[in-house]
Amino acid sequence: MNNMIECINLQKNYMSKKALIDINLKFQEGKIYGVLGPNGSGKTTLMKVIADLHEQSSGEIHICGEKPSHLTRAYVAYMPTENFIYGWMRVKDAVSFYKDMYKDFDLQRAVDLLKFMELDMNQRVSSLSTGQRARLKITLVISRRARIYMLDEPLNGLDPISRTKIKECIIEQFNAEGVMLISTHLVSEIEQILDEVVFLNEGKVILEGETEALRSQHGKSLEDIYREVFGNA
Amino acid sequence: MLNLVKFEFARKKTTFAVAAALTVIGQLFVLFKFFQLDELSRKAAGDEIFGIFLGVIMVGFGILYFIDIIFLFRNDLFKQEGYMLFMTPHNGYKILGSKLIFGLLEGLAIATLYLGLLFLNLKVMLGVPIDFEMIGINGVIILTGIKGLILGVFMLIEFALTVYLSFALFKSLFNNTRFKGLITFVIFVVINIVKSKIVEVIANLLGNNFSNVQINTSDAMLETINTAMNYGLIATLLSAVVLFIGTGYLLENRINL
Repeated sequence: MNNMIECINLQKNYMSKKALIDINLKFQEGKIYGVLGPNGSGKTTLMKVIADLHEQSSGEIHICGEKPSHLTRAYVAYMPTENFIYGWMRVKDAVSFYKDMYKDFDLQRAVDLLKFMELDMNQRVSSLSTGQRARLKITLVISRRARIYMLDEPLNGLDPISRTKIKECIIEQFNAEGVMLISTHLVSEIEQILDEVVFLNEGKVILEGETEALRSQHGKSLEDIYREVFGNA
Repeated sequence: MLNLVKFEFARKKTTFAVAAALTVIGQLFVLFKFFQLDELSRKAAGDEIFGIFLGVIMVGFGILYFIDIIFLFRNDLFKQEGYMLFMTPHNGYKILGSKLIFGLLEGLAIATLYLGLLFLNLKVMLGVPIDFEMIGINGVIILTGIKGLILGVFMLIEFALTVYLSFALFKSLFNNTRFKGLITFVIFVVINIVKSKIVEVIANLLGNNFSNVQINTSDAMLETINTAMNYGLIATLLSAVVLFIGTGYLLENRINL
């Protein structure tokens, strides 16, 4: 299997604080990875460095063999945890923006997903509820036929119906030739769809491996492993 | 690149609509008040209105325009919504370039609107047709005025680029530094001091040349002003190119959003 993303001795500092410490990871095509850890563990920083929104302090990253740049952004579909869609836009403006900016954006897929997510094209983004905004964010990102997807906390602050819709959407749209990274601390919600997991704490990788292997090795669900790991961390 | 410029226009459409509506309302209000006056008072009021046009409104338009082009960049760099733009597969130079193209077009549109309103009011208040010669304004003066206005737009954009560079430094090289705000401000001041020193040197060189010119006619004075504006335009463009390259590089390679 091809390595879609490779991090070698990756480090990121914010002033004196080390947000990522000596990260060595490989993310392979055809798999969904869970990047798990409590708040402040480095999940978002790792994704932002891969997405070329942050510059690493040291180490290397290869995205399909290239250094992160505007070129890699053409095939990395990143959904930040922040409300990144302009408030002045209507839903249709946001769709139009993605269509104009990304060659891999599939308009029909977006229209179908908006329907599935029960979002109105004419609604203004600033008037959407938290759940609706989250659904719009994921619709835009998933509607790209990207090689790499990164979803940062896609289930945060959502009601159970929105969570189910988003999970269904992720499973349905995942492309076996791509790779998907999902960061969350809501492990029980997402563990069924993860092929592999990376546990991060205080900027370090403290555990990684195939989900099924970890479950049988520990004789526990992923959520219980999470509690065990971070309960002691 | 075209898509980026299109996006800048799309996000300003409401602002443009509001500004256009306010301008029309303001203009109608001025005309309404003007025609309520008796014939004798109109002449004095007309002079007053032109005074306001040439002074307060031009400065007002300039300030609003400058604030607008600063926020054009600041909001994307400092607000979460900026991710939407910086996640696109466009390099930093293109993103910056699209903002400058938009800023330039917006500035020229405002300048055209300003001139349009000025001439409209001249025509309405002084009668039809306007005899520029009679009021001591010839074609050369008008062209010099228009050129001055364009130079003004370029100078504002060049100054905005200095601010852009400071913002980019704040979000890149000094992002992980304590007192980054202070350091960036000091750099902003230093850049401006260096720029003013360069302008001073150029002005001294020009001053030496111009001292040989006999400015004893209005034509000679206009020629001198025109030459000075040509030099100003070249200096502004050169400075803008340097600032553009520096800011574009930081956006492309060193940014930490």
